[in-house]
Amino acid sequence: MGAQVKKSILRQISLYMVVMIVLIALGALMLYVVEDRIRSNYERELILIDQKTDLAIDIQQTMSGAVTELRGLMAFRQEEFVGKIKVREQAVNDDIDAFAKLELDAEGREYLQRLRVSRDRYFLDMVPVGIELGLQGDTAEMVRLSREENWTEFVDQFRVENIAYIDVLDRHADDAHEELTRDLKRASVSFTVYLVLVALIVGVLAIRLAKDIGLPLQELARVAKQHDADLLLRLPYDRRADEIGNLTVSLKTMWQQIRRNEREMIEQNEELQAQQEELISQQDELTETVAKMRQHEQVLEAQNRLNASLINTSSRDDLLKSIIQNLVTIQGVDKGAVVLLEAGYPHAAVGLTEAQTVAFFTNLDEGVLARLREERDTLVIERDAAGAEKGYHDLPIRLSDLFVPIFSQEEDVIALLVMTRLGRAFSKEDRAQARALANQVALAIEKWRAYEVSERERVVNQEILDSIREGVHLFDEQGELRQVNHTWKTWMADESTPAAADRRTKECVYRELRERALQADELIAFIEGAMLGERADGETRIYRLSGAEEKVMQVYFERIFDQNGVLRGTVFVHRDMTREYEVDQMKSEFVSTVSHELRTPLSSVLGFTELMLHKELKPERQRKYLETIHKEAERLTQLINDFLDIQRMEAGRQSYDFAKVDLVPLAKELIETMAFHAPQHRLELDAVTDPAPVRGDEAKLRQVLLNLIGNAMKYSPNGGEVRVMIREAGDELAVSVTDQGLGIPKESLGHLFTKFYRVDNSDRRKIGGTGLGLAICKEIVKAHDGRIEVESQLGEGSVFTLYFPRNQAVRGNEVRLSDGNGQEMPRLMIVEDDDSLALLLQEELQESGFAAEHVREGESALQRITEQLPDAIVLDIRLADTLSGWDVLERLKADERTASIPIFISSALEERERGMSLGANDYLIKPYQPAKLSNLILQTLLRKEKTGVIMVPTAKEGGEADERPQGEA
Amino acid sequence: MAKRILLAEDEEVLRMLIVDTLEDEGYEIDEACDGEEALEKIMQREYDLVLLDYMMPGMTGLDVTEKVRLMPEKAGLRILMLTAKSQKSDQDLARQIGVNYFMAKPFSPLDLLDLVDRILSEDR
Repeated sequence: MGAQVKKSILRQISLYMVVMIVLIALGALMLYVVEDRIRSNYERELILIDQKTDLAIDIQQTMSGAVTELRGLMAFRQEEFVGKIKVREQAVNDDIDAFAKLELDAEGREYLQRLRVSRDRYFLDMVPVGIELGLQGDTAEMVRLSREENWTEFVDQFRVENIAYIDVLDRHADDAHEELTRDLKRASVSFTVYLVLVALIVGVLAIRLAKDIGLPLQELARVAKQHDADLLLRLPYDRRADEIGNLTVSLKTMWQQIRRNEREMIEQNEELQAQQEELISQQDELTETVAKMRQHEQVLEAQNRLNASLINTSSRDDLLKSIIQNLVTIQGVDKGAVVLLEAGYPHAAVGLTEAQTVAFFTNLDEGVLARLREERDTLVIERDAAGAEKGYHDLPIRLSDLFVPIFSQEEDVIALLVMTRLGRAFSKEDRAQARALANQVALAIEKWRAYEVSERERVVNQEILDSIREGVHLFDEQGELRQVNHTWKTWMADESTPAAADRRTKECVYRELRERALQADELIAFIEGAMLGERADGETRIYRLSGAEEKVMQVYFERIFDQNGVLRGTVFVHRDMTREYEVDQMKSEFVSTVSHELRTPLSSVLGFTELMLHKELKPERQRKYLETIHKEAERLTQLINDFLDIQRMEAGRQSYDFAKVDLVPLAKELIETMAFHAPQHRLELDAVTDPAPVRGDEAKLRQVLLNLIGNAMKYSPNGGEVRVMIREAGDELAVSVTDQGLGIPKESLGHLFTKFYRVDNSDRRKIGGTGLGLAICKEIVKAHDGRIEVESQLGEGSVFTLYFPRNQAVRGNEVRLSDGNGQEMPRLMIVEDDDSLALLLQEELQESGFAAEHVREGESALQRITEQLPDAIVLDIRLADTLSGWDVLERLKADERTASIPIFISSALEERERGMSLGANDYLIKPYQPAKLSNLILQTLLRKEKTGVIMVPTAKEGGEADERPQGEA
Repeated sequence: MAKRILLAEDEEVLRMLIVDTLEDEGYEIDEACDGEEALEKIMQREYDLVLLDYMMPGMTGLDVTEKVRLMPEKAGLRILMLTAKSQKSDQDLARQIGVNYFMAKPFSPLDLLDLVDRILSEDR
């Protein structure tokens, strides 16, 4: 146990603590026991004293009582007192017995003794005498006895003694209390002393602990802090079994270890130092090597630079300059030059003036060059330095010139290198290196030449591409944008990069398309598909490009393959087809409108005819149907006429007979005629200006006025006034037609003069018409250099006003043969002996928009034709004079002035073969439809592209177009 | 009882043609000059058949059909369309919208009568 404790400081301290606690607890327990015993002693004694006191007092009272009763007996001589005295006697005896049983001290025992004596005297001696005397009533005896025998004195004495004893008991009680106090005091003092003792023991233990543990620890810490090995080794604690012993042993071991390590380190350090010295010497060697290497490196660098420039330089002069500069470095020469053996001798030099270089290659020694060509190797010429080459040297200096020929792949010498060294000759290795470098240079020059050629071609190609009006771009097989032309970039509004430097991906193009194209996703899908070969060749796509003007575009593609059939890229061509698209759109719209307009009257005509054919109808029904058919047929005719009119006018094919026309009588005549048809309208003419001459075609002007007045009446179904006013308006003559009719909604005003436009409401639908009248008016007025305007208030009426230029020189009868654009109408020559046939043809052709002249004889025909050079000739075979049509044909074809004029033979002879073989364009056998002829001519001329205008045959009634008021309207 | 037919056609002459043809065969015809009038009449009265011209000012025949097909109580109303648009794609569209029969313009009144007879005899 002791050994166990000694091994652990913790256990030691714990043991001390336990001992201390046990001692303190023991002390406390003892104190408690002692105190308890003191207190119980005291209490027991107190009880005893109380009992004695009680008994003493009781005896005292009982005795007093007995005395009193004896006196009573004396006095009253009654027997009953005897009993009472006997009871008293008994009580005294009991008390005395009880007292005797108590623990008695000396005083007690003495008191008991006296008590017994007193009792015996009283009850054995005095009481029997007393009772006897009492019963006899002998009081005197009694008094004598009391006096003589001292009875009274005895009684008093007894009482005094008794009281004295009670006092003694009282004093005993006080004594007991005092003793208690004293004992308690003593006990507490003893405990205090004990505590002091315990504290002393604890103190001793603490000191011992400090000495046993604290001091050695302090010492260890101090020694460890001082790192003093000797002190540490001298510490005596290692024998100890506890932690301090262990700590000391460990520290000592550690210290020894450290010392050992330290020694080893020192050894190693010495070794390292030796190695370092060796290294330093090695480094010195290395530095030298590096210096050498750096020289090599420079050469290599120059070689690399050369290589890089051979590959990358895009300018020829840069290339040459770079070649010679780097060669000079690589070869370690003092000067050198390179020259291309081609026109202009492009060259570069180092260490030579321009004049020297030029001198070198202009005076190029043919001998040297010849030798080079012959030997196909480098050539070294050693010579003495001459002139400026010697510089400040007096002594002769040897120079080495190294000539290196540069061969093309065809083994021609294409360039020459010359390098010169002062003093040092060229070694074998130098020459070999030079040869190798020359090969590189040769490749570079050839490559450069190829590049130059391809670059020239590329520029030409790009220019061609840029001049194309279609947008073109080329994606290579990787989807990279390889080429794009100017048109495309303009459309994409992309001026960012020059065409040649473009190297962008398809994503850039797609981004642009997404910004500009309306169906971009579809288009991109198409482009992707085309590149992946998913689209059939020739497939195209139509899309729209947004911008200031929306464009309709068509894109097609062409996949490009190399000789081996490997896909190299895809070209996309975008075509601006906005015009075509619009024309197409207009055409189809027009066709659909025309077909609708034609279909309605056709439906009626066909329908009613069918009813009449297949049904039994009453005569009045038949008549009604016939009238309807007639009306609808008229409407159809009107429609076709109007339609052909407008076509002819728009195509500029309408001919006008301009003359001086006075509008006043014209208007007057029209109003008079119209008034007849329209009883519910009031027609008024207000000629502010009279006369009102204009230069115009009377028939056409009549058509315009008729149309306007007719409209005015039609669109005022409830009657009212229609006023025609003619007045001057500045430089113009104005003719206005005012009605009080329905008026025209504002939104419709702008469309009024559009073909087939009808103001869209059901009221108007009931009013017949083709929807072409106003468009025709507009065209006619335009041909008269005038204009037409309209004002209207819905529900109140409309005013249409024509403006014609005034003060214009009005020439007499003239036939206008050109359209509004001043373009000549195609002129025809009809060579025909039959006048009536000629007239028929002439009319037909004129109505088809040709100007036709008629000649009867062959000779005059030839003369007129060479004079006039018409656009086409209609030739009969049988003519009025000796010449036949064949002769005319042959002569015309022989004359180069007339050889190219198309000739149409019109004959009853069936000799088509002959005619065609002689060079006629077509051969018509009489009789034929005149329209067939005009059609043929028209087609031929169109093919010849004599005119770009589409000519449409005109209708016979062209001059009289109007919208006749209809009965129901 | 006579079958009642509504005819919507803006061209008066054609209206007369159709009315005459059909009335002779004992049909009762109401006339409308345009799409709006037709729609009003359809809502006011019960018809056994409606003849609609396709091309009318304002509402076209197709517009009228579309509106009629939005009225659940007119679900069974048969519509015959007179149209110059004879292409199949146009007809398919019209059918989708709710046109039941077609008559191409220009039409024969007897053919139309035939078709109307056939349509209305389906009832029996």
